[in-house]
Amino acid sequence: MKIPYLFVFTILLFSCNGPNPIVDQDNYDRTVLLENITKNIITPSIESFQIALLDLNNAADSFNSIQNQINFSKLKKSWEQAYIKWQHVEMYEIGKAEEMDFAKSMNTYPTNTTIINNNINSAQYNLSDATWPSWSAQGLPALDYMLYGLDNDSNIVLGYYSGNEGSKYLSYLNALIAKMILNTNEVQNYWASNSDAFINSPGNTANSSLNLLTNDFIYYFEKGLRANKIGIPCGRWDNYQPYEKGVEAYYRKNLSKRLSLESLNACKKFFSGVHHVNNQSGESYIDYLLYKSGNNNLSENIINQMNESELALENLNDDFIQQLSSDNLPMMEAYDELQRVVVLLKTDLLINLSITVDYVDADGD
Amino acid sequence: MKKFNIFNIASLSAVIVMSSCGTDVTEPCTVNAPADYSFSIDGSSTVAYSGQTARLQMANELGSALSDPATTEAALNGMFNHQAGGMDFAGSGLNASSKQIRNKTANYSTASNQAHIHEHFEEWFEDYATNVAPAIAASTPAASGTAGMAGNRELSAKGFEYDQFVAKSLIGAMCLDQIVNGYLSATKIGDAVDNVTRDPNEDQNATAMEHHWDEGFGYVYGVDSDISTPEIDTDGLLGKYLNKYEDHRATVYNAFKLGRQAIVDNCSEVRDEQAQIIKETLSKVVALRAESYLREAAAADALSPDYFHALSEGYGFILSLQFTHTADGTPYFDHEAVDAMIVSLEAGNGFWDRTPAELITMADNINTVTGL
Repeated sequence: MKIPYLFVFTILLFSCNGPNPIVDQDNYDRTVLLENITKNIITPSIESFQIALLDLNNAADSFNSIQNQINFSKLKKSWEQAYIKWQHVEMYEIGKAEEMDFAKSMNTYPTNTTIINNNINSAQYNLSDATWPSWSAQGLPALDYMLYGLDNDSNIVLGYYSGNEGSKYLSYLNALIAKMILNTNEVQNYWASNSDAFINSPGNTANSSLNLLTNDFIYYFEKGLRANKIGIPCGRWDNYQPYEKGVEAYYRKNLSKRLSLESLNACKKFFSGVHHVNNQSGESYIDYLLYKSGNNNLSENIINQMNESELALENLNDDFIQQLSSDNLPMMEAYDELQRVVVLLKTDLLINLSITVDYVDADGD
Repeated sequence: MKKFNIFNIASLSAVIVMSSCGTDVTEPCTVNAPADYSFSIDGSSTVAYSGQTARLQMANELGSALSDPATTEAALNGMFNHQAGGMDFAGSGLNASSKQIRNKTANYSTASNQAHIHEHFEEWFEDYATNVAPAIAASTPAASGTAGMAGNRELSAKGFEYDQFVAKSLIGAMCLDQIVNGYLSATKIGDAVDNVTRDPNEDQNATAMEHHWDEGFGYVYGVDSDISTPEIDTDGLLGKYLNKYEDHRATVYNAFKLGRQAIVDNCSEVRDEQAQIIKETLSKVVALRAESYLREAAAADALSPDYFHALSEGYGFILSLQFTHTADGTPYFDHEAVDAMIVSLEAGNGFWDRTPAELITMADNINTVTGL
């Protein structure tokens, strides 16, 4: 029932305000915006994730030498830090990252414990296979299972690594971390050598940098954040039957809210042009929208609605699994708040910037 | 688009020249469609399709039961093969209802084809209850040859998502079949059908012909909350997919409206023309979905939850193709041709073994036949 009205609305905006949806004729210098996002947000976000992975690798080295509770705790802590940093990286599925399915190999969840156990026991697997079963047995969610899910008791989990079969478990753990580092290095290299070309792409065609970036951002907000973190767990497309296994960091248990908030924070900083490292503001979508429309109305709406979403997420239990089993309604409300952002981004933002959406809905019906 | 616009204007006020036997030229009859699908006698509506609403609701519950780990085979068969008074459903009034899904599934197919289609449903119920439900309860991850969860999708060992199989198959085998081969066929709305007798105590004072037309309408709009517009908001079967195509949605709604008025006005030609428009347009929707889900599955990440889901939807729409109705009255694909497609989708370990190339070839073949 809503679609036809939106459609009519679209036509009106095009015909009254005049921006041509195909060829953008404004004189706004998109390279200034692209430069701020590329140099101060994307590149440093990837680099801090890379550093977090190196910490993880160091912790794994110590754990390989001595499998004790102290080393195990450090390993788990560094995995958690890497997962938080990852929330700032997942949305940039551009260039090398898109080519190698970076996000899918890093954060496909729920993880597939059957395949992981087979891989551990057979020691025969190919983590470069570009299929869902392969992605669902690697990356951060696979480590979640390896570090927290082998048993409910962390001493027993540790026992898997120090026991008779310990070398098998250590070997898969190391392989997962090595693959994550390899993938991330490739993506970091891509940005190191392609940033300038990416920035120097002022046009408005489907392959222009800002078009790709804006689409990736909105896709991430819709799929990576709204659907994966909240919509699927609360059963949005399954008659609201809670699906606990679909919670991010399912085995770690109380990290899910933290990750969702971090993800939303990354989106907010991206939209407002806030630097990854020092929280300074640079050229952003807010400036471009002001140039286009002469006011900040839409930017304010978007930021306000992101803030509403944040409140709705804050309202949830730290552990979404607990939230789902006690009361699904707050999860559904958080979904609705996030969905309101999606509508603002997918219709109003794109229309105002005369950018065409390059993907179809992924609601699965 | 243009074609449909012209068509819609024409259908608002259709004038058909009657010249049935060459020598005897009758005056053309003119029918003016009402603003929406409401028809009444002495101020009381004559439109009724509660039986269709009940079956759509039953189908909806059956679909939900096919993603519930607590479901049993007996419960699924009870829902499919409901007898009045059986405690099969949660929805209000459904248990008391004498309506049933099974006897309206492939009801106009030959006895052997119908039996074959019923067997499919029963096999799905058995496999779901025996193998899929326990795997979901145990949170087993799906793998080739192992039933379980792929993401949030409940899969059989062959990668089949049975709630999708059932819902999408019923779109053709029940909704479309009942409309094109049942209620909008000559047996139900032809000139021989009573269009005179009204009884306030039966079918809400509608004539037999009017009521049949309304029952056809009910298989599309039976659970829609507002039938005064072409939009369909709550349906999970044929109406849901018709609603995705704005042009077809308007075409079908206008044709139902005009055809029903034609029955009131005793204008057979307009009635039959509108019936044909409905049959062909609904058939197009089914064919478009069969093709697009195959392409969606081919484009999805290999063996991802989205892949299995899209292909499961596609399977049901492909099964539904045998109930379509084209300009010459034949389906796009007959039972045997549909069977051949189904067999090739099920081959080996089923969806785990399909390649994008195979799916694209199948989609191309459908497109060649439909020309849509």
